[in-house]
Amino acid sequence: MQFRVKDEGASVHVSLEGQLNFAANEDFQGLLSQLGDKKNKKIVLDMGGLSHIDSVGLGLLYIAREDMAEAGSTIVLANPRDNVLRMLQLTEAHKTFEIQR
Amino acid sequence: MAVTALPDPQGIAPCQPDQPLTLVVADGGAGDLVGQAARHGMCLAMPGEQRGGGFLSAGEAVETQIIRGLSSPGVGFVELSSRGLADLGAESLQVARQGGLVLSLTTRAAFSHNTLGLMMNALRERLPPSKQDCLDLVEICLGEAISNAVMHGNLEVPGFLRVDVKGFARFRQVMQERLQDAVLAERRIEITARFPATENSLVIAVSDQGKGFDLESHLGKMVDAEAKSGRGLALIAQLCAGLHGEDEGRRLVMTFS
Repeated sequence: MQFRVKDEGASVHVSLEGQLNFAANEDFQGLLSQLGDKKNKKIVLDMGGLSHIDSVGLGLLYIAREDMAEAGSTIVLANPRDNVLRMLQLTEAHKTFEIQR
Repeated sequence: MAVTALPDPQGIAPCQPDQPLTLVVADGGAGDLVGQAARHGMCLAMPGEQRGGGFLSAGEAVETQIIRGLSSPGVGFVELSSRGLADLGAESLQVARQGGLVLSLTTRAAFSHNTLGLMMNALRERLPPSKQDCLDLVEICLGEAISNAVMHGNLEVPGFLRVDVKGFARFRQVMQERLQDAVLAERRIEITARFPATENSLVIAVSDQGKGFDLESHLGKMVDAEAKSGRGLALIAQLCAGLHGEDEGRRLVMTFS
């Protein structure tokens, strides 16, 4: 997984690329570190470039959500592809996360 | 090794007996590769030299080589580990002889490559359009199965070390340590796909070389424990048409219709 972070004032835009899966741990930790100083922001995780997400990757999203909540920030999942959206729905993650398409 | 035509319990087209299989090795192969291949009933050939029958590509796990091996008319790719073909699964070779598709990688390579994507591209290439409907489900299930085989099977990362906020640092640390472990990281992950000629089903199996586990009892427990553990397995069970374990839980066999 690769990511790019763009601070847009009230919100932070994060584009994710590749696969958010069991092999993405270290990259995801890098993302969390980079988001560490963002307080009270809306973090938009743009999933348009994600080709796949697995249950480990979903676990990482929950970690990010909890991490960001401590800093008063919220997470929005944006533009998931059909297969990624299906996974979010199958695991009922769509009930926890706001999803924008 | 002679492969005999067995009546197939899963409705899979019967194999052709004594179908030859050639191992194509780009750099000629080192050490006792000839002997290792012979023990698996295969002869060795250089690229372009193979004659008749199916051929498996073998070599270092380089993406272009893997893609070439998985592309028609090849029947798959086998990574040569530091011990050559050691620990290559007999079951995988049988699938290759029967015209199926095989990908055999060390855990290290399966982790660092887009293993799922490589296999999915090969499946899209092989399956006729009329049989591609199931591939969305295959992608989810195969992804979960590879993840389980790598983490819990070969790397023996315990199930209780789930990815959650408290355990994330520990989880990362254990994954890193195990990927550096020469023995664990060299264990093979093998993915096979059978394309039955007549039945409208696709059979995908994912094998690891870990300690195995009791699939049946895990499947039985999942109803009330979904959130805590076995989430990937629960998804697989929910989405595929058939699911069973072989080799004491080291091989997960999924059927899609």
